[in-house]
Amino acid sequence: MATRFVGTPFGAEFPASNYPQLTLSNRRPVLGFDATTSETAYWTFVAPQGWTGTVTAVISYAMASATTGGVAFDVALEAISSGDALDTDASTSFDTVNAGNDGTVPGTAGYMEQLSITLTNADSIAAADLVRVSVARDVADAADTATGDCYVFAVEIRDAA
Amino acid sequence: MAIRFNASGESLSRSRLAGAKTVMAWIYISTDRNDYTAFFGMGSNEIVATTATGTTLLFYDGTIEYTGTNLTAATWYHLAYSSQGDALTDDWAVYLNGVSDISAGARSAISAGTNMYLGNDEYSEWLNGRLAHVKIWNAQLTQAEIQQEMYTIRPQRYANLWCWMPMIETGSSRDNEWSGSGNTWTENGTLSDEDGPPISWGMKPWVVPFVASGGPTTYYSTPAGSIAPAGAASKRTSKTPAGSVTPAGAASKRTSKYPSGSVGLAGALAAARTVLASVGGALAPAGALVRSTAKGLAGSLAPAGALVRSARKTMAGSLAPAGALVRSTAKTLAGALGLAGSLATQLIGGVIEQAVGGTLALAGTLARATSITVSGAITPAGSIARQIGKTLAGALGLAGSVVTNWISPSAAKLDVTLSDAAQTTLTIANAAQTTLTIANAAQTTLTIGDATV
Repeated sequence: MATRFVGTPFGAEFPASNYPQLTLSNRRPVLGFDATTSETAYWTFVAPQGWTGTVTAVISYAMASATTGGVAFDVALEAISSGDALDTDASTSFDTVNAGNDGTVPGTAGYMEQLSITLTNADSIAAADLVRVSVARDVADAADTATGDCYVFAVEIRDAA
Repeated sequence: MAIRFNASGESLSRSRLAGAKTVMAWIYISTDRNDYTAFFGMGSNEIVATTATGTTLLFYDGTIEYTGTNLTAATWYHLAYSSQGDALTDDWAVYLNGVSDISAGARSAISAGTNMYLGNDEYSEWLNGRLAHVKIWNAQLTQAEIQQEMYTIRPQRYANLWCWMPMIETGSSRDNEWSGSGNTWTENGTLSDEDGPPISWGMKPWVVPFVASGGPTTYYSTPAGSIAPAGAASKRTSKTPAGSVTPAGAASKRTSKYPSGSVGLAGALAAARTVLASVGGALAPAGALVRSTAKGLAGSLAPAGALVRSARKTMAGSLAPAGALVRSTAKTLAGALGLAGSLATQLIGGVIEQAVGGTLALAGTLARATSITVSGAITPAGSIARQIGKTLAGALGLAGSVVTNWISPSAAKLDVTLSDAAQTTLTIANAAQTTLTIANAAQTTLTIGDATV
């Protein structure tokens, strides 16, 4: 498994509504995902040459204040190949979301934990594709019971190389 | 994040920036006050605000109220003001979402004043709303530059950057100034923090263009120069590098198919399945070469360490490892095979050679089999453990002993044939210390010429 992309809060893009807040936690840039509204952030990259196999997303997070409960995330990929019939001005083409959750957040707020989600729905991503990663906290998921913001430090995308 | 102003007297203030300037921020009217509401109050005659409606954009130059677009509460807008200077002849413009909304080529009054405000002005026309991502230059930016600055918190232009408050921090750090200019602001009233607009910081993400696992695994097809990593080259290097492959560390799987230069490893070539198909130069790792080396090797194969399994199929030069050659070497060897160490098991398919053109001279032991046809001498310093060959044109000079038998270890009996008794002598040099024993006379024949004994 090889790291192919690392998205940080400073590289995040946002939808027009329901997006996490870019802030600092002890001078560390974080995206604060709300506990009551499902918020989404995007990262854009070009799939590097040699891309192969199963895709995995690893979300590095810490809770702002919660010490109990769980947190759930949905990760979706949009892979656009050259010449695809997609009007990027007006449309998106994200594949079905891949859900994952960490049933138990760290017992101390601020402790970092990593949630790994296998992206079985990877939009047939291939080298040279224009790729967007969508990461959303799924507050409607029954496993998302932790209160307060979930601070995301980074999102890592791996392939099977 | 954003700074929330929600009461009279709440603002950020500092001494006024005179002359040319550009001020920009994301603005948000939380509650329509239905009154004059100032976003940027940059002196007595330089105010970007709303009219008394509370939502219609306004620029006040000290005498004239210029009006613009009607804003909607609870909506984020990017607001920028740029000015050529304070003089009557200086032009200015107010941009809403990157588009000029109010502008004029001159002023009706010289811009002046002591202080400047964000979220208020010197007439206490306070904002009930939010400001975020404030950037100020002591220069007049163009519309194109303003549009470039809109969608990133991080400035794109650093020249003349006079103040930058990204406002991504909260609490007492909410108005921290990041440009390094020292042009900080004073908080007036009780400010708070609320959500900001959906704007990216503007840093490019990190994409890994090749797979890395302790070092580069695969380099692509044809590098023009040499490959010389300081560390290990863990999987493969190249298909056709023009130069040498000389990692300081180990090359653990394979190096190249056709390097025209040398493969000189300072470290071991640890687990190579195939080092080379064809090497124009020498293959000389300082350490061990564990499995196999090459198919065709024009130069020598001379590892300082052991050559564990097989070396090559066809080798024009010598095969001379300083250490042991454990399993097989070559099918056809034009040059000499000179081992400093022992030859433990076999060379090729149960025998050393199909044909050895030169000398087979082992400092150590030849453990099992050697050759069918050896045109030169076989002179190991140690012992030959099981069998030598079928036909040996040269001398067989052993410093040690022949352990099992000569001709056929599979034969149940010893057959010794002297084909021409007239020219052949079977000599027992020291009859007193030597016994010729035929263990099973019924199955053994000793023939001299035509006579049977």
